[in-house]
This record gives sequence, C-alpha cells and structure tokens, in this order.
Amino acid sequence: MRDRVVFLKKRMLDAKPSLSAERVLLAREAYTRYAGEAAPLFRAHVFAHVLEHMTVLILPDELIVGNQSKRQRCVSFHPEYMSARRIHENLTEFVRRDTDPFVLPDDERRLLDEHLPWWYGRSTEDRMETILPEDVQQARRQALITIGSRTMPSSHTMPNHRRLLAEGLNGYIARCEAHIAATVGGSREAQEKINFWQAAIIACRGAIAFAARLAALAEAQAGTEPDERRRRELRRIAENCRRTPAEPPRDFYEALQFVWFIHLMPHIETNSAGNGLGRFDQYMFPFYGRDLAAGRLTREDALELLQCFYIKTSELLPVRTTEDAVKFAGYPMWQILMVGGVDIDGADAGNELSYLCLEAQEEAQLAQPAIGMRVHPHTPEALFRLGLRMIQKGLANPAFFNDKVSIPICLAKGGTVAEARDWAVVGCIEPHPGGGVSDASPTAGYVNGLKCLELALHNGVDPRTGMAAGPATGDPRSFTGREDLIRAVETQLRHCWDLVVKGYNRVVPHHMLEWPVIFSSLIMEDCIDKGRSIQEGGARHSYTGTFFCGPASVTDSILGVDCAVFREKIVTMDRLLAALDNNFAGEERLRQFLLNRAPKFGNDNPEADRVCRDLMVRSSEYVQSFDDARGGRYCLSNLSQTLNVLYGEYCGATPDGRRSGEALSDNASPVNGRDLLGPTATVNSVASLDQVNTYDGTLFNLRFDSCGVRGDRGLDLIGAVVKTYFDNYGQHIQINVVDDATLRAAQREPEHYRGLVVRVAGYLAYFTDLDRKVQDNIIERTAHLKST
Amino acid sequence: MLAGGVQRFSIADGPGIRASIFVKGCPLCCAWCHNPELVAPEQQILFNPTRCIACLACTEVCPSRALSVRDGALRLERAQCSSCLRCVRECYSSALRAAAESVSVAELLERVLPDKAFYRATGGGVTLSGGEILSHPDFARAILRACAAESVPVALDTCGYGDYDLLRELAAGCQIILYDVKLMDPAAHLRYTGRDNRLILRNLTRLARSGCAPIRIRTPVIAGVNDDAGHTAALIELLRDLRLPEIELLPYHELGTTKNAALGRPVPEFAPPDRETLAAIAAGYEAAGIRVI
Repeated sequence: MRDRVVFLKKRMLDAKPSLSAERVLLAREAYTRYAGEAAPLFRAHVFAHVLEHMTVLILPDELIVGNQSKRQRCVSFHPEYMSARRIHENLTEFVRRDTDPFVLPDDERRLLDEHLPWWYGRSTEDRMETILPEDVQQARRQALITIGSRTMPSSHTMPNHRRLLAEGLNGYIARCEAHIAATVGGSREAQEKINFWQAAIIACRGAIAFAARLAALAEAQAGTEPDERRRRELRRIAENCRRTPAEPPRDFYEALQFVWFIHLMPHIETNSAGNGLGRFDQYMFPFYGRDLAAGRLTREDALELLQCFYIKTSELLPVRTTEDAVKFAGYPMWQILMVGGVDIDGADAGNELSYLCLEAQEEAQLAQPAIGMRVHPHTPEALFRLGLRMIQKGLANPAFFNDKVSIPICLAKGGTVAEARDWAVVGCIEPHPGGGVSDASPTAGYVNGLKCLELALHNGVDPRTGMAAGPATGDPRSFTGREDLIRAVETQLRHCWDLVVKGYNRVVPHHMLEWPVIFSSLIMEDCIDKGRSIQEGGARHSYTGTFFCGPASVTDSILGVDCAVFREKIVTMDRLLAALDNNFAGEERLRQFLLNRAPKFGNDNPEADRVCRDLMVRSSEYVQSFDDARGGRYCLSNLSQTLNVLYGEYCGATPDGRRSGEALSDNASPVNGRDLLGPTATVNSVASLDQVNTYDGTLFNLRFDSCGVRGDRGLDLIGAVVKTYFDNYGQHIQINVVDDATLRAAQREPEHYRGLVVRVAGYLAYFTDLDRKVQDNIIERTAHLKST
Repeated sequence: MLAGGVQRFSIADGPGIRASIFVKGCPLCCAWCHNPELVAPEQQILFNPTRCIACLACTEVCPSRALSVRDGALRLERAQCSSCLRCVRECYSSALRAAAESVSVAELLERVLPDKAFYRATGGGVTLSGGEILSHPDFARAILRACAAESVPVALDTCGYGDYDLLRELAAGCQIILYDVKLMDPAAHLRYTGRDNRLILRNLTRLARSGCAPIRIRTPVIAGVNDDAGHTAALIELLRDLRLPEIELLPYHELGTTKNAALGRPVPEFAPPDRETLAAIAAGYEAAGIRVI
C-alpha cells in the first residue's frame, strides 16, 4: 500500500467522530430566507444554501475531495428530521455514551445552545409524535414495533450512475429545463411538476457550486504549496472539481471524483444512511479500461485512487439518538459497493475492476465501503477465491450474495428481466431492481417476534407491564397442540404488521408534502420524467422495508412448548407459564429440558426448520400484500441488525430456555450457541427458509474460528460452505473469521485493535467502536471449528 | 448397532468436508486414546459433574442404586451400574450421557445424507471411525453398501487390527484408507495399546501391495512415547518399502482427558510434542520424499 494511503488511513482512524453546529446555523438562515416557498423549492434552497456556505476542506495528501461537514469524520445535525429539543437534551449524552460517542468542542456546544431552540418543534420527529395513532405509539413503547422515517427522510437511494456519468448534472439540468419549457402550466399537477424541476435545477446548481468552491480552494492551496508534486496534485484536484459533477468525467480519476460527489450529496442533503454505491465495477470499468488502454493510468495508480475513495466513504458518519445507536451500533452507513454477478444479458459481468475493488479493501482494510460480491454459477473461480481469501484473513469483507435467489426476487418485485439481472443491494442486504430505478426500502418498522410469542402465551397481555398489547388470542391453557400456539403467534404477528403499516402510512404523506428530498430524487430514474420526488412515488419502483426480529428464537420457543407440554408432557402449560414468569427460578430442570431436549432451529432438523420457514413465509406473504401512500410495496426482511440485543431486554424468559433479558437470535441465524451440529447443518437450516419469498432478503451471519480455516484447504472449506448454501437457495451470507481470544483481547485493550473489523449485521464495524453488550453478543455467536 | 454418533463437518478425517460415524468397541486400548468411551464394546455412562444441576431426578429412577449424593454432589458407583440408561433419560442437563446409542444403518444414513452437497463440493464423504470398524463386519458392509448406493464416498479409519480379508473387501469399496501406525516397536506397542503390532503391520503390507485403495498412514505424535528418531526412521523405512506417499501426523491433544474423567477413569498423563520436535519429525519425512499432511 502506498505511503499516502497509509497516512490517509491513519489520519482517518485517529480522527475522533465529532459534531458540528455549522449546518444548524446555515439551515436556519435558509429557512428564514426561503420561508413560504413551495416544499420542493424550499427543500432545494436549503440544500443549495448549505452547499454554498459550508466549510469546504482539502486535507493534506487527499486526492479525492469533498467533505460531509466541518472537520474530518465530523457530522452536522439535520434538525428538520431529528427533534432539536431531543438533540439538545442529548448533547451531553452524545459525548458520554458508550455506543457511538462524539466529540463536541466547547465553541460548537455554545452555538448549538444558542441555535437549537429556534428549531424546536420543526422536525419530522416532532410531527410524527403528534400524528402516530395511540395504539401504534403504545406498541412502540412496549418494544413491540418500531416506526421508521421519523427522524430521517424516507430514503435509501441508489442512483443511476451510468446515466449520471454519461450526462453530468448539466445534462440533468437541461432535461429539467426542457420539461419546463414543454409544460403548459395552468393546473395544479403541472405546477407541481414545474416546482419539482425547478427545485432539481437548484439542487444540481448547489452541488456544482460546492465543487467549484473546492476547485477554488485547491487553486488557493496550490498557490502557497511549496512541494512541486503536491502543487501538481492540487491543480489536478481543481480541474476535477471544475469539471465534475457538472460535466461527464473524461477519465477514471474524474469519474471517481464524480461518483464521490454524487454519493456525498445525499449525506449533506439529509441524515440518511443506506445509500448504495451500486454496481461500481460495472459503471466504472469503461473509464478504467480506456485509461489503461491509453496508457494514462497504471493498475497501481488506480488502486491508490480507489483506496482514497474508500477512505472518503469511511469519513461519512450518522448521528443517531442513543436508542437508535444501540439498535444500529458502530456508526453504520450501509454503503454497499457491489462487484461481480451477471450482466443484463445473463452472462458473467466480472471484469478487472471487480478484482481491483476487492484488492483495494484487502490492503486498506476499512469498514467502509462494505463490498457485496454477487455470485452466480459462472462466477470466475479466481474472483470468488479472492473474496474467500479476504474472509480467511478475517477482514469480514466481502459479503456474498446469490444471483440465483436475488434475481427472481427482483422479478417478483416487479423488475424487468434486465433490471432484475442488474440488481444491487440498497440498504443492507435488500436486493432491488438495478440501474437507479428503485427507491428502495425506507424502513417502515421492525417487529419484535419474540414479544409476539410472549403475547401469545399471555392472551395478548405483556407480562412485563401487565397491559394489553395485542389481540386476545385465547388462554394458552386451553391450547391442545402446537398449531393452536402457532395460530396465536401468527395473529400477534399480523397485529404487529398491521400496526407498522398503519403507523408508517401516516408517516409517508408528511414526507411527501413537506419534506421531499430533491437531490436524492433527481438522481433516481423516472423522477425527472414524472416531475415527482421519490417521496411522492417518483421512482420507477418504490419499496418499503419491514423487518422480522428473532425468527429462530420464536421457532425454538414454539418447539419448546410443543415438546414439554404437548408431546413429552413433562409439565403443564400452567406450570410452564409460571416458570417463565418467574424467570425459571426453582425450575432449572425444566429449563434444561427446554434447552437440551426440544428441537432447535439451525440443526438441520426438518421439523424445526419447517416451523421457522412457515413463520417467515406467512409473514412475508402478509406484509408484502400492502402498499404505502407513495405506492411503495411493503417487503419483508429476515434481519434484525443489532436490535435483537435491545429487544431481548424487553422480553421475559421464553420456552426456548432463554432467560429474561437475554438477546434474541441474530438476524436469520439460529439462536447463539444452539446450533450444535456444525456449519453444514446450520447452513442447511437457514437455506431451507424458502428465502425467495422474503423480498428484502435474509441476513445470515456465520463465524469460523481462524485456526480451523487456515491455508488452501481452509479456503476450500469456506468456499464450499458458501457455494452449497447458494446452491440450496440462500440469498446472502457473511462470514467472520476471527478467534475469541482476539475479540476478548480487543475488549481489554481496544487501543491495540482499532483496525479490527467485524460484520455486525449487514454492515462492517470497527469492533472496538461497538458497545460492550454487542461485543459480547458477537463473541457468543457460535464459532464453528473452535480449536479444542 | 452401538454407535458413538455422527460428527458432521468433520474436516480432520480424510479429504474434504465429511461426516464421521463412530462405532463402539476396539481391540486396542491405547493409553492416550482420545475416544476412550468408544473402546469397550458395551454401553457405558459418561458423567460430567460441571453440567449437573443437582436435581437428583436420576437417583430416583436408578434400579441398582448406583447413583447417590455425597457432600451435596452426585456420585456414580460404576460397579453397581447396569447401563440401563434410565438416569440418562431423566438427565435433562446432559450431565449423564450414554457413550453410544443404538442406531440402524438407515438412521445413520439419514444423518449423513443432508450434507451430500458439501461432500460433492469438496471431495469429501463419510468416514467410518471408532472404536474400530473392523470389529463390526456386518455393519461395515451394510453402511458401505448404503453409501455406495447414494454415491457417497467412504473413508475407512482403522487401526488395522482385524481380519485381513474383511479389510481387503471393505478397502476395495473405499475412497481412502486412513491407517494408523502408532508404534513401530512391538514391545512398546504391546505396552501402550495392549496388543502386539505384528498383525497390524502385516495387514498393512498386504493391503499396500494389493493396491486396492489409496492408503494414508496416520501416526499420533506423543512426547516421550513415539516422538523419538527411532520410531520416525522405522516408519520412514516402512513407508518407502510400501511406496506409500504420505503421512498424517496427529499431535497428541487433551480432548480425551475430559472423557476419561467422565468415565470415572484416571486421566492419562501424556503431552504433545514440543513445536521444534514436531517440526523436526515432519522435516525427516519430507527429506525422505514423504508428503506430510
């Protein structure tokens, strides 16, 4: 790795995440100046005003430039989304908390104290508190569901990079102008479109102005730079920023700077996370190939530029409330960069850049971007093995995605064959029709599956509070068999999905009417043609994400009841319920029975696997029958992020032998430590979930202990596990290869393990950034092949 | 058939990803055995006190009063135990476990077939291990036939102490024979394993000369027992003589010690060779043109 990259990486890692007041002030100015404008114009003006006045940075030795906020790894608030009152109340906590803390300099703190009160009551979050129905609010308080897009926009974007690179933002402006010229006004509908196009032009010009300011800065720095080589670099940076993102880039370096600008903008516009980089190796290859052929670029130069780009993505940070920081620990941004897979004709699409993208991460070992390798039956073995080698080294990058499942999912979601083959992850693992056509998966809400099981065992009453929290599904003492319990659980689950849909349907129109996100919309296909933002259903396809937490915990609990009460009859339902309510006090023998005698998901047990599959498939079918107000299809994801830990704290003891407060199963994986037959059995179980029905994907974490997977043979073993999982229709798998000793050592001496990257859920995080509880949870994930 | 069960994702007993089937009963009785619960042919009970929750349900069902409580801890009097397994059925925490279970060939097949795709992807299959498979001819033939019918390759893991004709017959249907040679010195072999090694070496010689299946010699490496130059030199000579290309060194590990304790036996005191000695042994084989696995 070149010295520059080593230096840039170290500087980035050493920079403590910090907070800035700058945007709070600038947005306030814009709010005052542009108050009264129609919503799209207003939002675009706020965006452009920030871009025209925020601090721009070019740090020593940078090649790719453009910053999210005032300092490196610094984040500004978006008080139009997160409640300013809540931010203000939390400022001290942001600094002190264990999970994802921030530095807040005193002068910034004083500015925030002065300006935040002006924002009180102006955020989406404030609005949502007043518009969500009481039953939805109560379910949130009971840790039964979450409702998304309350503190952030309803957007996860993945732009049409190919078109952007071909037309430049000036081309987009020209299209908007042509639409305006061709539209005869005089109707509300026409004016709304004109407003959107004008807003889009303002937003594009803001982005171009931001780049121009960087160009001016680069020139100024070049003027005083004593080093000749750096002077040349700064002049080149200036040239890049004069050209892009206004005009189409002419070479690989310009294209990278261009893509960085496009990727950065949504992170300045809003506090959104989950903006994908799409099929990077596909849309960037033409530039790389041309430069290489013309002798303008060497492979090594390209590698350095890519690493500079990766370091920029690593600088992006989210600011979350402490509650959300625990749910999504490790400052995750879900910037997924896809490589490999098939092209729109169905042939292998891998190219030299696919390898280079991986090699850049193999060397740089950064938490961002997370690389998703699309695998299909004709994926070149060399590319696949390069990915495996990175896994074997413990980089936890890339994650593997299966074309064989993801393409049919994208067809089922309404994509054309070409769009489906061009699929990419938007968000975490969610496959979406590609080419910038999908406004994908804003989070509608998570459902605490195990809480539903608890409600089913208490006739709809939450035993923690004694309050009714779900429909009365009958006294479980009257249940005569497993099917009765499953029916009750499914009724509770449906009630939760109903609440999520009801709550989120209230949320969407407010984003539509008051908080349309203009830049993030115009880069998506069809928004300009339709003259509508993604919040108004402007994208060709719109989807809405819902998440099922803890399916394996629910499955094991159902089987525990079935085994203990109905089949072996070692205990009555009455006594089992009493044991659960007392957290198994005095009932350790019963708990041991539940732990060791009842079937468990994850052991290739067809009965257990069928219960889990039915839960997932029926939930998917139910949820996926709804549309939201913008026409977004609700899609289900078998995914919990790290919410399984928090949700566990709200659940009492359960009939899988789990004690009160312990975590739920992690994502689609079996419950920690309950898969006892090794990875092949676990893989078979998870693959049996009929994942093609679950449109927003199935997140499977598997951990191997490093000593079991050494050498070429180890590579073969990991490869066989991935391939067989994919042959059996698994959609996604991510593998951590790391030993407990290393993780424990990192807990003891975090300063020595800052670079240790783990996959927490659909994203990578620096292990030492994680909360202690989440760290413990990762260590507890069954490590296969542990040395003995 | 009494079997010690099936270990899936077995990656240390032959090529690829495998499932190992462990039979119970072995003619040898190696002092360092890591599967001591599979030596005796009859059923036994393993007791792991750390898992015991002292619910004492076992004491109530034991017909021969072999289980009792002393100083608050459960005790198992093995002399009185008839291995009826009633206690095991009551022991939900698995502190009391049966060393083996009674299973049919069909049941075993059902447990190994789900991983067929993994075998195929890695050139793996089923390994018949133990115990000693040669002590169970009918079972060995049946499981081999059943695996062949499902196109699952089989490896034989044997100590070589058994009937040659049976060995030859089984070997002909196997992917590879993992053949253990523990000690070359007959007296030491007798002392440590309870049996003379002449039959083992004779069977090996005949099998190798027959050429009916690839053979991989495996030898445990135990400090002070067989990590000396003499054993290595003798084994090299044998391998060269038989034109066997590879050897797998299995450094002693302490996995078996907990099982000895669970069987109520004194824990044998052996140690793995030190790193340098192991490296020197490996180098010795490599220098003689024998691949070390």
